[in-house]
Amino acid sequence: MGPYQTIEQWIDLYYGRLFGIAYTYVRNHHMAEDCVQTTYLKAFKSIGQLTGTNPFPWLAKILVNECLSYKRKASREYSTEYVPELSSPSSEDVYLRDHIQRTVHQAVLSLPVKYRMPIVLFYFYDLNYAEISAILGISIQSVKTRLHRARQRLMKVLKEGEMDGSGQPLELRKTAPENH
Amino acid sequence: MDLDSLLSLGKRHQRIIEDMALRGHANMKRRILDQLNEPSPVHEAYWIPKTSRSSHKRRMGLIGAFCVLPLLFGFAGYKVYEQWSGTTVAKSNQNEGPASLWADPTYLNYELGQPNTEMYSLSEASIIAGIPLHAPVHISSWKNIFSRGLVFEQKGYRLLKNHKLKLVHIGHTPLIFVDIYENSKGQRIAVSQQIQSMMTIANRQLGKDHHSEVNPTLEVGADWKVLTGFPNGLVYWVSGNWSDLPGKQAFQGQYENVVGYIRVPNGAVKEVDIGEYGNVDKSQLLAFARAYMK
Repeated sequence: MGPYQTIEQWIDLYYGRLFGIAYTYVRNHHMAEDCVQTTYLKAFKSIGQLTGTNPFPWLAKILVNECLSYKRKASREYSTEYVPELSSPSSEDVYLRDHIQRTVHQAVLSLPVKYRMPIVLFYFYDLNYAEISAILGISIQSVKTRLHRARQRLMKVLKEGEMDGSGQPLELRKTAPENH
Repeated sequence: MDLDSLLSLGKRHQRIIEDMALRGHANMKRRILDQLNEPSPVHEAYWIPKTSRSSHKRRMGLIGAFCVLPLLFGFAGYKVYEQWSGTTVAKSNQNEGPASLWADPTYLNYELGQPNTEMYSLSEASIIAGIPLHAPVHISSWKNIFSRGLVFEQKGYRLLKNHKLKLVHIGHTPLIFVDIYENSKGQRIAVSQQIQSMMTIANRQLGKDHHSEVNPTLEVGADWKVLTGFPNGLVYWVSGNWSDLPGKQAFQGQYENVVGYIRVPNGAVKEVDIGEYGNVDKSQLLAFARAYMK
């Protein structure tokens, strides 16, 4: 199979997951699409550098670097401060109805990126410490530490309704008491 | 509920976001593969070795030159340039009379400049519109310069008003997807896609001879003929004077458009309007329409 066919296959296999990671990183649909698209273009040209049989961590590493680069560029143009989607209707709002799922997801997205990405990769994509370490370019010990701190922060956010300092209580508290 | 359980719920939400993205997967796949087939100068630039900071600057300079010089030389015959959604585009002196609204930079600039105008990607727009939207990335001789779903925040309908053209256009659909292409001469073709809900055609079965039931003069207000060779839907060639159209009397000149009505899987009808700006040749417009709607 040639590089073109390989990329075509990878688009079918990994587009959704890569988009998901990009979205949790940049928190913007357009940006996420752009990052995934660029990731595939870069992967195409450097496909010879892939070692191992599972390309997903390798693609994810390219993607995370691309997201970082994209956010740096974007931050020069406008504020990228996260605005929770609870208050403004969007296509996601139309599509997604489950408030608890959404609230937890938004709580994860409200974490700083250094804590957010380990949580996303570990819990949402079932990657192991070594894979996360390779993708994020940090040591395995740092991955463990960040995951631990991320969990603490997440608990705090979910319990106290802290989302980017908005002070608004999470819907979770209204709809899903802890004894559920 | 413990944190692990909550995170599993968050994971489920993540899957929903992925599923939503996958709705636009086919289109994105085509965009990526098209780019792999026809690498742009920017694409190639990724693979210039990053040896030093100065080479990086030189590379960026080259990219800038590649982008700017063709604009300067290619459009030297055009005197008016406008800032359009962050992109400088040329406005031809030839652009008098025949025009498509969406391809007219004056019109689009005005709409995009409104405070409540929202823009969405193709995949998002499909979800909002509730109909499948398709937009081919590459059409020979034409470059896509704008591709966004637009929502104008009005109560239940769109009210598009152009201060210069004194034109008001009212639609009853929440979203219109606008694709604009430009050729090397600075001529433009604009395509708008939206669900057709305000006219009786939405309730009509589209078939081989259904144009006999349709009164396109009422629908599109112009001289018309049915075009053949389009596998999907009912497609018209329409032409006429803008001033003959209801609500558009203040807009002078003639127009020639391709208008297609396509039944989509959920039973709705999608309207696709393809119009030109800058005196695009009729045969070019028709060839473009065939490529776009194939």
